[in-house]
Amino acid sequence: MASTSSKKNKKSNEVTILCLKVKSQDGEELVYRAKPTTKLSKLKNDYCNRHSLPINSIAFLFDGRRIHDEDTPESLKMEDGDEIDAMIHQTGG
Amino acid sequence: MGALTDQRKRSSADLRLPISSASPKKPRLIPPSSSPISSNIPQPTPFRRLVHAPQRIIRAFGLGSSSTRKWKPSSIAEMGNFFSQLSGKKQDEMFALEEYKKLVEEQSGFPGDEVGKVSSVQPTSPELSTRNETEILDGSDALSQKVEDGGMLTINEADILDGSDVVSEKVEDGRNMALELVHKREERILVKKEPLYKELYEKAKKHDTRLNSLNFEVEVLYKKVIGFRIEAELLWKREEKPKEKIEELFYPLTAEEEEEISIALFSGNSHKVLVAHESSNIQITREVLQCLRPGAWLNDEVINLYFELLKEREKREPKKFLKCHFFNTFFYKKLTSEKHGYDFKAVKRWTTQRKLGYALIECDKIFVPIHKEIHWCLAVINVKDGSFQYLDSLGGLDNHVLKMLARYLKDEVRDKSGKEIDTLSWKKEFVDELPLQKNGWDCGMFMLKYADFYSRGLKLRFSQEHMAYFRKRTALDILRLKAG
Repeated sequence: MASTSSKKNKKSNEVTILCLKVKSQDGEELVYRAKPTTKLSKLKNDYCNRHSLPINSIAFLFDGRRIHDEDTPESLKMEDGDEIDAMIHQTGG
Repeated sequence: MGALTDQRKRSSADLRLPISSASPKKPRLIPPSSSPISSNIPQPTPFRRLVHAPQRIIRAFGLGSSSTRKWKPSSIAEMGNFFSQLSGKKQDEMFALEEYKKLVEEQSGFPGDEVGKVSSVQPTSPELSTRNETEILDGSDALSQKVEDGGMLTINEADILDGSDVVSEKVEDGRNMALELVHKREERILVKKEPLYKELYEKAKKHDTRLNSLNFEVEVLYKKVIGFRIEAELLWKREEKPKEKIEELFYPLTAEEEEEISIALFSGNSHKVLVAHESSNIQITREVLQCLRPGAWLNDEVINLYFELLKEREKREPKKFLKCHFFNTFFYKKLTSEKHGYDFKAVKRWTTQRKLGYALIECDKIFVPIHKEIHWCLAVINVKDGSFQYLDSLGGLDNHVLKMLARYLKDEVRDKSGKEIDTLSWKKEFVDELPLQKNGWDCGMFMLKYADFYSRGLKLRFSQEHMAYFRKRTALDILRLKAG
């Protein structure tokens, strides 16, 4: 349950800060606080760093749809408390 | 060595029995009693078990080689048994044969010793006939009797052959005679037996009428089956009358297309983004697309993008294709990732009317890719028919998956439209003639094609051999962002 100690919080008190949960396949949750205009690739990078995963081994989904690196909470119309699914890429034969 | 000899001495000293002292001293290299025979004549093989073992028994009863010649099985003949009489007669003839043999030997001028040698091997024959007799008395089958006879005689003769070559020729005649005798006897037995099988035959004939009627029924049914098959084939053809549909699925790639595919798959920077699909936000780099190389495992990106393309194709030409919904590869994972193995809430927002533009229950078919650690399967929900299918290119079946999906659809419909439908009672179909993979890497390709064919409303008319083509074709579809 770690959260990013962000300078953004202090800077943008007037702007609404969103709490976004990143949920892994095992059901483990990580809560991020982000501005609506923050690129979600930032979250993804941080998440992969924390879990020491290669960045291209994880797919971020919002309501079943892939999150593009350029997407922001605003562009995806995310609301406070929304969940992002962090899914590991699959392969099979 | 010293220790060994010591031990032996001790043991011989301990065992004071006469046998123990005598046995080690037994002369080993002295030839058996037939020593006077000159060495160039081959010795008879002494250990024919069939012949040798019973011989001893007879000797024990005073029926040794010298006495057998005069011995006649009168006691057995007196019993009045038909078989014993028969064999008695035969035995007489056997004795005559031996006398004949003896005569031949004498005439051919062999030294007495050698003749003795031959006869010492020979005397098994009377004993053999005694054996035969006892078997006949036991009432054993005539056929097996004959086989026994034949076998014994040959062995006997083989011994003689070992004895001397000249004699053997004459003995051959003797054998023929003996065989003839056997045949004669057999014939007689058969004549006696004939009525029994005739009787059985007559009995069996009584079933003929019933058999005939059954045969007729079988024939009628068989013709019916053929008729149905022809009818089914005609229906099949009529069903699939848009033949160009099938051809369209297998159209050959042009040289340029081949070139384009091979460049995309086999050369260049592997991190280069080849295509980006806007609406689904999926980017395909060369590295990702290379899973379509022959023998490679398919990844989720390619599968998800291809399903997106199938959906777009349907939107483009709604009349040509069935109304389908394609879930992505993460859906089932998410649905079942909770501790309890089922979490509707996790995927509740995946299928809102706003997102899809249609309700799930309006679709004809819903395709759910199932990822099983290292294997791809496809679950199909036939909403119109009210049934579930599980397509595993390895031929597996997973009812649990279908149960979870039934539960999901029930919850989904209740959540989105407030209706209650009993999806749990929908039947779970097993697909006949499902094309199966014959290697360890094509399951993803099979899965894509199951979805492709079903979304066209076609039967799964493809097989392993088409996979190499389908891989190229899929690569091309992805490069052009348009499913054919």
